[in-house]
Order: sequence, then C-alpha cells, then structure tokens
Amino acid sequence: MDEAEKRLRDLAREARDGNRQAFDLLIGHYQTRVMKTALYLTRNLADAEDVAQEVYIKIFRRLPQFKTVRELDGWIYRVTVNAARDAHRRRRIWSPLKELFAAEPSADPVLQREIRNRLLEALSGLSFNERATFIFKEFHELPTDEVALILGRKAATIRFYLHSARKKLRKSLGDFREHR
Amino acid sequence: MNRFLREEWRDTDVPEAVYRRARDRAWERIRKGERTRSPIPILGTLAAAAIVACILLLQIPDAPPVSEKITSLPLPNDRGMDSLALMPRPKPWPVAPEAADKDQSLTDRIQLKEEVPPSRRAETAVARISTQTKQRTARQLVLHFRLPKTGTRMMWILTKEGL
Repeated sequence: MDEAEKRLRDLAREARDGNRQAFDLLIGHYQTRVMKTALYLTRNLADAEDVAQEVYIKIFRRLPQFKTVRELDGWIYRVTVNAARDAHRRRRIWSPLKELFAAEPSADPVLQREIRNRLLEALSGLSFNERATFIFKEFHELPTDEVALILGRKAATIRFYLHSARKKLRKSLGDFREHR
Repeated sequence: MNRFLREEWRDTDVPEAVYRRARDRAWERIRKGERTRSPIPILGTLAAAAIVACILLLQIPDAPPVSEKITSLPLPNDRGMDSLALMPRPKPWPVAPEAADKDQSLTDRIQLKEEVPPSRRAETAVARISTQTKQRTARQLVLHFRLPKTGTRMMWILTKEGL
C-alpha cells in the first residue's frame, strides 16, 4: 500500500468517525473528474450535482472494501455512468448549461459561449453510450477495455460507439473547425 | 477536432460553489441516513414483541371462557360492527333442478336415520361449537388494538403453529 492510498484510507476512517473536514479532503480527490464526467454526460449542471452527490456517498461507503486505488478508480467511473444514466432516464428533456456558463468568467465571453454552445449541441446529438464512450476515450484517455468494463459492453461495441460519435461530431463541428 | 474538444474539456471549470453544495448535501444525507436507515431499533422492537407474545402464549393455562372473548370484541355500536351487520347475506349458489332433487332426497334420508328432537340437536350443536372454541383458543392468542393514525380496529391472532 503506497502513501497516497494509506492517506485515502485514513481520511475515509476519519470521515466515518464524523470528521467533516476529512470527508471534504477525501471527496476532493475525486470531485473534479466525477463532476465533469457527470456534467458532460447529463449536460445539465443540476443533474450533474445530483449525480456527484450519489457518487460521493457511494465512495464514502464503499472505499474500505477496495483493495487498490486503481480498482476504486474504475468503479467510480462505473458508478458515475450508472447514476448519470438514471438521471438521463428521469429527465428526457434537458436544459442547457446556462447556469455553468453564466457563472464562469472568460477572457472572451462571446467566443467562449459560442464554442461551448456548439460543443454541447454537438454532444446532445450523440446517444448516451456514444457520449460516455467519447468522454472516457477522448477526455479521460482510458483504454478501450477499461471503457468496456465501465459501460458494461464489449470492446467491439465500444469501438463502434467511438467511431459513430466521432462521425457525428465531425459532422456537427466540421464547419466550425474550418472556421476556427 | 479532438484537440479542440480536449481543450474545452480541460477549460470547463465547475464553480467551487457547486462542488461545495454537492459535498454538503452528500454529507447531510450520510449523517441523516445513518440515523434513520438503521434497522436495528425496529428489529429489536419486533424481537421483544415476539418474545413477549411467546411467553404469554405459553403461560395461558386453559381456554378463556367464551364470554370473555366476546367482551373483547368491538362493541355492537361500533362503526365496524354496524357495517358488518348491514352487510347482505351471501346468496346461495344456483343449483341445477336435478341436483337439488338429489340433495333433498339425501337430506331426507339423513333425517330419517338420525331422528333427533330439534331441541336436542340444538344443544348438541352448541356443545360441539363450545368444545371446538375451547380447543382452538387454548392454542391461540388474540390481540385487539387500534391503529394510532387512522383509528382502525385491528385483530391479530397468534397461533402456536404460527410461532
């Protein structure tokens, strides 16, 4: 067990004893990737927040059961995808990420907003599995086998999802790329 | 295109307030859940109730008199009893004419065979019912109670076989 792993386990134990600060530090290790993944999967900040909440609770409860942190990482992605899928089923009509963009400062707000609106529009044209595959492959840079494990699909299916996602995004963002 | 999307991914910053709110809510749920979701108090209460019921059942020396049982039932002016009293009697099953004749002849034969005076028959029937009730009540515990919220009267019969 390395130092980082030991630290995480200590934090989990302290959090279980009711230490709120330890809980914040524990979740701090995972919160960015959980929240961003949830945000891109659900395309809605409120849903992403709900998904993140679910995942934090599960991390807190299940952390002591994992032998390695590596094992835990894969599991966290799986839990995030499942929670996002549930949110996706609950809400068939999505609202755009207005809240997020309104809150975020940018050097060139007009351009930033345009880029992101286009990106979200393009992502909304993908199915849930295509979007998840694209996020894990392109943003998290995970190997196909691991993505297959996270989504509970075969590696060949993941390759198909990725191909399909890229094709759709190329079509949606092609003119924008050339323009840029 | 991938580079452009990766940059977007990297530059997407969720406000700290959102992270904090999610953590706060998760922590709140964890703290609340640990107190309310624990099944131990409920199971403990149920186990205690079952033990008390068993002890009571084993300590019953003999069957209580039928009159005692009757007094513990809902009073006749209760709403439940009124509604029971007002319920129409169930209609008999329709019987085919041939079957009815057959049944009638069978009943006549039985009556001819027994030939017991009506008063005697009534006495025998009462005695039989009383014995059956005694035998049954010695093996069961009847609890009457009222649900606190709805006020509905409930009857819980515990039998030795059930335990």
